Amino acid sequence: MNEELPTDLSALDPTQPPLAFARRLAAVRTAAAGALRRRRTRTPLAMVAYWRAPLLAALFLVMLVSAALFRSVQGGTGIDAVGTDEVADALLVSAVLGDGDDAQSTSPADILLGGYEQ
Amino acid sequence: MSVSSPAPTPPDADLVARCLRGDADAFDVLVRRYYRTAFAVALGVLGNRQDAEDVVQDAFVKAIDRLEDCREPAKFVQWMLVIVRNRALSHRTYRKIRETSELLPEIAEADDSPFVDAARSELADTLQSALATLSKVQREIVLLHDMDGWTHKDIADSLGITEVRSRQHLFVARKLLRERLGPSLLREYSHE
Repeated sequence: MNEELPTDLSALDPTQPPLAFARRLAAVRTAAAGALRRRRTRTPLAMVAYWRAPLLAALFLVMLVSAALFRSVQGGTGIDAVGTDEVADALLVSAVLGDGDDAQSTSPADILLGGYEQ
Repeated sequence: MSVSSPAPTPPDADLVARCLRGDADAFDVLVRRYYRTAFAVALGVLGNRQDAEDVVQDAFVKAIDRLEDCREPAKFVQWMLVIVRNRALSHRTYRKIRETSELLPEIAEADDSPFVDAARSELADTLQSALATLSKVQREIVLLHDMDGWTHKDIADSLGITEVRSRQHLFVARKLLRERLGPSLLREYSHE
């Protein structure tokens, strides 16, 4: 049966003729040269430069949380009023405590302040 | 080169490791090894040789750029073909690349006699037209199987279909191609 014989598609073979394939390879090589060069010259500084966007984002987040914590601790009186519970919740302290009866005897703020209020 | 054919030397995993360090020779070997496979997939999706070449070139550049994402370097080709398929599906953005590549210094396309070149080019156009009448999956299967020597198991794994389905698609694709091309055209070419 004819359909069991392979179709001759060699006219579409991109690796033939050899000179045409060489031209295609050269085009790929040229297009990829920049990416390969960057890989060869990747110094630690270049690595940092490559990851600068996520690093800056993480740094910004850490600064925000630190500033919020610092303000709440500096507040002195009415610490709970300035939202220590909210900060504790945001840091998932309550998740560590669980939602049972124990959580009522020790508030997230107590854990966060480490007995400072007592 | 078929996925399940004997492991090529040097292995893909070694070449990928070298490419990660920017080794252009290793990249060259990978491109030579998988250009035809990538082309078959791209042509299967697009149905146009020039567009397929553009997509293959872009996919190789994308692959070297994001090589860290290739979690299993030994399976580089499977990972690469996902890129090719995705790029082919959004091929319209590659018109600009074609304009750029035309600025590259031309190396003579022809290295056979003008007669053979003209005949080959004409036949390639005829084949392309005939392939264009097939469905995408039929095109991809007939190209991978008959042009790049893939097995039905490899094709089934790559396309997420059964081997039986792959055989059915190939059978229908060959039948349609023969109807459109006529046996004389194929026989004439294969005797050259």
